[in-house]
Amino acid sequence: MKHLKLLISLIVLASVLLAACGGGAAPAPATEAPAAPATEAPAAEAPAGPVSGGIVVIGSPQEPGTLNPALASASIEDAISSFIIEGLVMVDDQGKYAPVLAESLPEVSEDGLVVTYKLKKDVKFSNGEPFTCADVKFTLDAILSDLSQASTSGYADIDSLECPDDYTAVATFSQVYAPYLRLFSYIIPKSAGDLASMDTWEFNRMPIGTGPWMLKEWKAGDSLTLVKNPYYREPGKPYLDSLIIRILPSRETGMQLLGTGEIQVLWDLVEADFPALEAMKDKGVTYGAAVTGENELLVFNLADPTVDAPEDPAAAPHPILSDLRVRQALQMAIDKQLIVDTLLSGNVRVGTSVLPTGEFACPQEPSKYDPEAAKKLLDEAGWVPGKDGIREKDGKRLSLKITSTAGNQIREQTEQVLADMFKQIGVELVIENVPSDVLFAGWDSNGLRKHGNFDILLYTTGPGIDPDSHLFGNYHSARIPTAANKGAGNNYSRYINADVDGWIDDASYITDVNARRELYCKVAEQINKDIPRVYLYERLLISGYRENLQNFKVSPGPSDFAWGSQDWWLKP
Amino acid sequence: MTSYLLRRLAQALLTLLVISMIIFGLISAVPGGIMSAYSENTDMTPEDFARLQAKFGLDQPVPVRYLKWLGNMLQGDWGNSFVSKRPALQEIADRLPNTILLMGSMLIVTLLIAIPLGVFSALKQYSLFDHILTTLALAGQSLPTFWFGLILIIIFSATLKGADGGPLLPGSGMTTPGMPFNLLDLIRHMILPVAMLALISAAGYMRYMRSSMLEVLPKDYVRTARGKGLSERTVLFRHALRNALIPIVTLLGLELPYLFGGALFTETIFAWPGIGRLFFDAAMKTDYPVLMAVLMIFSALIIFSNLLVDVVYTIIDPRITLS
Amino acid sequence: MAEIPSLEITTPRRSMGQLVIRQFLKHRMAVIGALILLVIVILVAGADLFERYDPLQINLRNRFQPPSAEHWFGTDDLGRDMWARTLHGGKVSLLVGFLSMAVAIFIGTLIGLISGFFGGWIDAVLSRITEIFQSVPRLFILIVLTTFLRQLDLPWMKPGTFWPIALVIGVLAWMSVARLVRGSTMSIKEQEFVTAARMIGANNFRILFRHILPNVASPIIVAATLGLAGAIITESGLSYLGFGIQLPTPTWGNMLSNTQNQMLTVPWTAIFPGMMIFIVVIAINYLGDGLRDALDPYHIEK
Repeated sequence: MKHLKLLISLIVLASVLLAACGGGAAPAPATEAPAAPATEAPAAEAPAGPVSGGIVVIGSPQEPGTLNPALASASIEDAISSFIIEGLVMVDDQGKYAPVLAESLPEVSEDGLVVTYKLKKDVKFSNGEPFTCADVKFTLDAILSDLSQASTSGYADIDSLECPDDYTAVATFSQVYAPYLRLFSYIIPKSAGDLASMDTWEFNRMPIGTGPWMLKEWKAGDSLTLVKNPYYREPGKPYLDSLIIRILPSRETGMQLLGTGEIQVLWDLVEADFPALEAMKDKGVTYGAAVTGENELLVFNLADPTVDAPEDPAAAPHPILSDLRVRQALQMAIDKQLIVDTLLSGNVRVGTSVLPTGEFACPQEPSKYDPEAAKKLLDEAGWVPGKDGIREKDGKRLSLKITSTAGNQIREQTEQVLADMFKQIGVELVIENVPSDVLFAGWDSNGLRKHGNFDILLYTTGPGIDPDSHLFGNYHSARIPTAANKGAGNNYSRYINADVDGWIDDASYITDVNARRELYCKVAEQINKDIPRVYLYERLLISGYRENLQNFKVSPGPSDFAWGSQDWWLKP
Repeated sequence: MTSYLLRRLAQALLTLLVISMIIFGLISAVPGGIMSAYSENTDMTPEDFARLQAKFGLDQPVPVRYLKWLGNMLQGDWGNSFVSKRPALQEIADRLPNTILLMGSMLIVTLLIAIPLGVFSALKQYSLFDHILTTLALAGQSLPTFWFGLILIIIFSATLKGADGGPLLPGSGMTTPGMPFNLLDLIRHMILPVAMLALISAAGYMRYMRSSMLEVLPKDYVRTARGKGLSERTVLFRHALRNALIPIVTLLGLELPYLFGGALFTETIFAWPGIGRLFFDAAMKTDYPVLMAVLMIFSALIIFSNLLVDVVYTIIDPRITLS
Repeated sequence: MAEIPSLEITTPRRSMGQLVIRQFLKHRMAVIGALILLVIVILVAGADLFERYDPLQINLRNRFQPPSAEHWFGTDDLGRDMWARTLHGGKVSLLVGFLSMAVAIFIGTLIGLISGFFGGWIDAVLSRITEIFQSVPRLFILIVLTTFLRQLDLPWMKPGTFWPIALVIGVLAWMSVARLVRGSTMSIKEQEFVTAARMIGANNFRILFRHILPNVASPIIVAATLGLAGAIITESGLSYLGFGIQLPTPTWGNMLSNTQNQMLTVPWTAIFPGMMIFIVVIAINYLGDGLRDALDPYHIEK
């Protein structure tokens, strides 16, 4: 009888587990959902206007270390400090530059060297001090100081910053800085402290800003409580009494809390969470998403992976991937739409271009999925099917390694699907993942990207709002990491095209948006012809939220979900 | 005994020195580090990277960095977190009470459950009760932690409702956000994480307790004691249990450092602000000063609890001598 | 008094073995455990015979199908047959589980026995080594080791393959076994039968392995049972460090990992591999119990 008892206990346990999992719930819809990544409009807004009061709890998987933007190293820090700290010009929910503490977008001189900001008057920091040009100057000094952890691109080119009066700031550049609009996206008040001791400022954990909120309490590892800034310039706003940011390191837990209404917003979701979000629809949960301009992409190594960071990549070509026909064939073998429709629940757009969105968008035709044509190209290139179906040339197998961040669910799925798709055309794809720190490691710690020790990489990157530094860093031949430049640059494909170099250089010396867009579009088109990288799909910023939270938006800029928080209100 | 303890102290210091070197070396050998947070930011110029490297002291060779760290540490300066810029010890101090509260409660609950159940299970070997306990205990060991945690949250937090219409038990954090602190609220928040931790760790204790009891029960001295006409209770607690306790004490010694170290998975699932997560976050960002501080304190606790266990052995079993 | 020596003197060795087997067979749960384990091993070893689909065959248009007559265990996130994957997944998981458990138990027992028995400076050195192993976090060892092995490129020790995974899990898990065995040894070596054995002239080696080892078997067997489950689950955790078994090879561990966000919508993707680990652990547990009773001289005497 003893085995019977064991069996019973097994069955009891199994049924407990099954019951807990909600029995046989419907599987994730595979193809139903339409491709609609734009922010979902709140359902039929009630005629009654905003209601004041209430607390909104926001779940965040990460905790910020500091709220001083000049010391920030993670996107959560930018997002949360944006509730408190504002800039002269910031990125709005449409992905466009919008004046915030400036009256309007800054004026730029004919020669592009002088940028003039008109500042809003009667703006006060949360400590009651007025905001003036002196704070702009202090911010510049802070960014350029020794302890700063901010990027100094553009700021370093400012020769002088003059304050003709309290509400005008004139920046004179030593050379044209095309993406000048990205500068001064935050303002640090001059009362923050002495620049030589920036690391120990009280400001870092208790920032002072002009934004709608100020920090009341920070419980390490647990939560940050924000309350209204009494000096906020828009009367009656923010509508809400308080925002509480809860650190919820497990997204699964966060999702449950969103369902019960214990939290109203869950920040930093990923595409893999779509099925779970859909399942929460009937519990009053919806989501906002913004296209970031970043692509999930494949990086092909055009140089020989066995040569350590070749000085002249053209002289050490990759034995397989340096052949354009092979790269074309690989792209044709990928059914991007199928990946999007299934793995990503159809909620994102297929990748087409390095510049998919925003002011400088240059969308291109999606690549054709055509395995037959791909096979033909490989035949032409001299790769013929061997015994096991994998192609060979001169005794060498057409076998490639793909490397991505280990443990990332969607990436692991994508890699396995790609391996399957490549197998159809006789190409072997071996998966060899590493932790993300190892993948993104720098030159000194033997980073495999920096040293060119890979065949194909899979990760996400993109130009963000202004493509200037991204295109230069990732596609310009001067940005191929070598021992000579101590591994500077992100051109990991070791892609060299003189035209592309020229267009990128030209664009960086003009401030006219239309002219720049034209040049960048040429770059994007040429990249799609040369295929150093394959754009699989466009990445999204996603936040889940309760339907009764009104005016919640996701912005593709660094402020992310904090954009427009003064307008949030809770429908009773 | 005093000279023995002094010798152990000297050994402990030496061991800690070796451990600190190994850990420092390992952390330095991890590729990436704090700088990889900036790797996709093409606005960072080569000068920016150089400035950051210098700020974090990463431009120095590893032995120099280690000696600097050691020198400062010996003077009581454990360094500031790379990420928050606050003193590493401050970061730990903020989370230590939470960790001890969670892990201490867990340990008490575990022992209260596991010791009696383990003994009972052994006395009633192969009864239905024993089988059910065995099954449950092993289920706790063979399924990933996150499963249990999520199932608890789904049942007690997302599905079952309390009297006020809200969740029966809160599924995360230590307190209800926006509410003033009250003890009842804290206890309600502790129930699920403590239950999960205790469930998992009780399984181990129970199995060891049961098997130790089974081991000693048929032994001569227990039989002799019975033969002398002592009551079953006395036999059990005076004789059998005492000798079965050695593995339990060892196990406790193995677990003691975790009163400080916390439990990463539980803290993650239930959003408990403890040391486990502090360590993990610091590891992900290679935040040296915090990592070194957490690990050195943890190592010291391991060494201390091993010594404590050795001393306790001699109390449980006076025949054991330390030399 | 000293049961083991007296047994040895009075009974010939062969009948001792028979006694153990008979005792084991009397232990019904142990026999059932052994049978279940045997069935699982046969299913897993002969996975090619029992599978109905290729475990690696991806079909994106057939994802997340619930269990049916067609797919007994349903299909996974890439539309692969879960029955086939569960069978094949067992190969790596069982091998990794048993091998790494064996490594951990072997090292742990050896160090624990020697350390506890000899005491003095031997104990001091071995215990300090144990402490160092306890103190250095696995996380860093694994990340550094992965990078290192990748650069060395040894044929048998490539990250993502079986051997390094099994060895590493074992080598990083022996410390608690060593502590347990050491504690019990320190207590047992002072008992009368050890003194008796010493008096009749048994050497240290003999005392350690013939007299003390059988008496510290209980915690070892429990540690082995719990360690097996731990090792199978740890294997999946290693994949986050780039050390896990290479995709797309299924293991019970990697089938379970990343299922947390599917638990509500598609529970079968996690339940079947989880169930297999659980059943194996239960079976091993009863097997261990039976083995312990069978080897225990007190039981034999009865």
